[in-house]
Amino acid sequence: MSAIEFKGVSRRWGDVTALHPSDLRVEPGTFAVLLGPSGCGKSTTLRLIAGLDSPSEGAIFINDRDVTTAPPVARDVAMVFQNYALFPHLTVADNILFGLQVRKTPRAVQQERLQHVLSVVGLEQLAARKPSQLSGGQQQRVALARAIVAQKTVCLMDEPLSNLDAKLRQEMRAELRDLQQKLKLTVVYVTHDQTEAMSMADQVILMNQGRIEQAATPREMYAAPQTTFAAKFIGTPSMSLLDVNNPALASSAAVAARPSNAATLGVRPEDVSISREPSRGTSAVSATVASVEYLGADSILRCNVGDALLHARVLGQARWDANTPVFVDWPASANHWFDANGQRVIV
Amino acid sequence: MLLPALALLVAFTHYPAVATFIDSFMSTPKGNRPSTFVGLENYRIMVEDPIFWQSFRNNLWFALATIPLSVGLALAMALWVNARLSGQAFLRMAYFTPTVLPMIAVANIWLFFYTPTYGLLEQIGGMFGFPSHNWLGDKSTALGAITMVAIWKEAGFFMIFYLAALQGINPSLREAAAIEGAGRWFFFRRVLWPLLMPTTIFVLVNAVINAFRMVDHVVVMTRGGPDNATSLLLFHLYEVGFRYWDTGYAAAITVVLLVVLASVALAQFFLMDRKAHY
Repeated sequence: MSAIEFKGVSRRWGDVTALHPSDLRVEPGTFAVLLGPSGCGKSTTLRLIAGLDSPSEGAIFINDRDVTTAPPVARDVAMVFQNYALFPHLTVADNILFGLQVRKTPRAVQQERLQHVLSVVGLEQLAARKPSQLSGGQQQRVALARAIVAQKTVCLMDEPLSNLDAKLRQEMRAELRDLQQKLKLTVVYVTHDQTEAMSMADQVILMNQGRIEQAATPREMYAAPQTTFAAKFIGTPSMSLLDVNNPALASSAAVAARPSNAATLGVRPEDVSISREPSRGTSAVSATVASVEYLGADSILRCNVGDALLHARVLGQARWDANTPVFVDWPASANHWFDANGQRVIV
Repeated sequence: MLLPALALLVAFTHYPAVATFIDSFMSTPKGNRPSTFVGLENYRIMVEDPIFWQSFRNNLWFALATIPLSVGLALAMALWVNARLSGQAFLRMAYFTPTVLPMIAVANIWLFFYTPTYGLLEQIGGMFGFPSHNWLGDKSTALGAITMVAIWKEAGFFMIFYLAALQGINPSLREAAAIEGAGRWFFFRRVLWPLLMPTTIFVLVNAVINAFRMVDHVVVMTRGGPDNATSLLLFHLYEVGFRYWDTGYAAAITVVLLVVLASVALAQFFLMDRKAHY
């Protein structure tokens, strides 16, 4: 059984394709993150799940029920909007109870559930306030409370943390994750922030130009990006991609032993070791430090390898200056190979 | 810095208002007899003037019909053109046209609609075999006919305000309500209507003022007739002031009109403001 399933779902507006025919599965009780740059189709995908938009082709299943043509209310989904979509004239309590009032839930039940969700999100004292009297973080909690009070099995979130400041965002990340675990919700979460995705998700669904590039756990996604796009998108700084025909790499044993169809070599910054003298092996590549970004615990070195750029993560205490000639090296296990079409080459 | 604006305001607003108030207690000056203080004499004449009372009644009916109908129609049209449909720009323009057209021209067009035997209404009615009717010439239908014109004109104007307000409402509110399963009516009653309340207050105040300020259609279409059946307060005031040249009495009517309008507007603002969300 799957909580959400897409079978060949696409969405087009005239000539514009927001989502190419795609398959997708989200297991019940998991936290799935739709990740990608703006305009990649992640919001469209979320709106298709919610029923705020309908697919041009394909079928959508929620809890194994075909909901392709069902209205939002018949899909057993709740949603948190990017701008929260709180009703400005209603109190916090009325905002949270809006859906229950629509469904004419008995008053006693409404009050009971209200008290419960207010305590879950920690807003007991603010039930009588209007949204305009709340801070951004509090408004966010109200939107969250409104989504969970309905006790739907699937909760959709459209960049819910993007309007908060960095510190609050970090706190809310952990809180959201806890809440999802506690309530055993299936969450589909849209974001363009890969840190958010990596830290919260059970499954990351990476999208690009209306296509799903890769759907995997954060660890898999990081360890084995399936495309050069996934390699470039995940990680700060992201994987360095080098053309195998770069003459500066000729001395590298790794490049010499490359798979026959490999066109691009990817190396994560933390796998790169750097030294002033050539190391004992012959695989080291000579490079020049172009700039140093000091981050405290570590530093990011931008090194020129021929005309290509390679990032290296080194300890913060080590001092490196720009324009220093150096030797860079990495173990063979750190090689990621991609073919001419940007697809991962399985070694 | 404020002086130029203040001078204009005093010359064209404050001074005339005060002067009118004073004039309403004075007799009308004649060629060889200057104006004298007559106390409440003008107001006594007003109370005894049957045409004043007739105009007052007419105006009340006129207001009672035009205000709710034009505001209701405006809201309905705004909700309709706010939806995404083809030819939307054309529809919006069509609704707004009555406001752009000069009142005199509009009145003449409607005059043609209502004309007996060859007017538009008559021709359509004739096709279905209805008997001929002189809409503006009959005491029982003349006021109704004028009221129709006013509703037609006002509704398009008020629609623009409602449309602007609707466009300002966050579209994700509708989506949030849809996710919760709120139907159109529930969403309108619980969300749209309260959020439109400030607009409604503004529109209502304007509708009341316009209802008591109506004169141009009356002048063009009926001149208050037949038998004062369409005489509205401002038309009566115009007749008294500029046809019979009884300026003292006209000033008294003006004062009454202003007091009525100001108190209705204030009452609306204070009573409804408490319920409105801004």
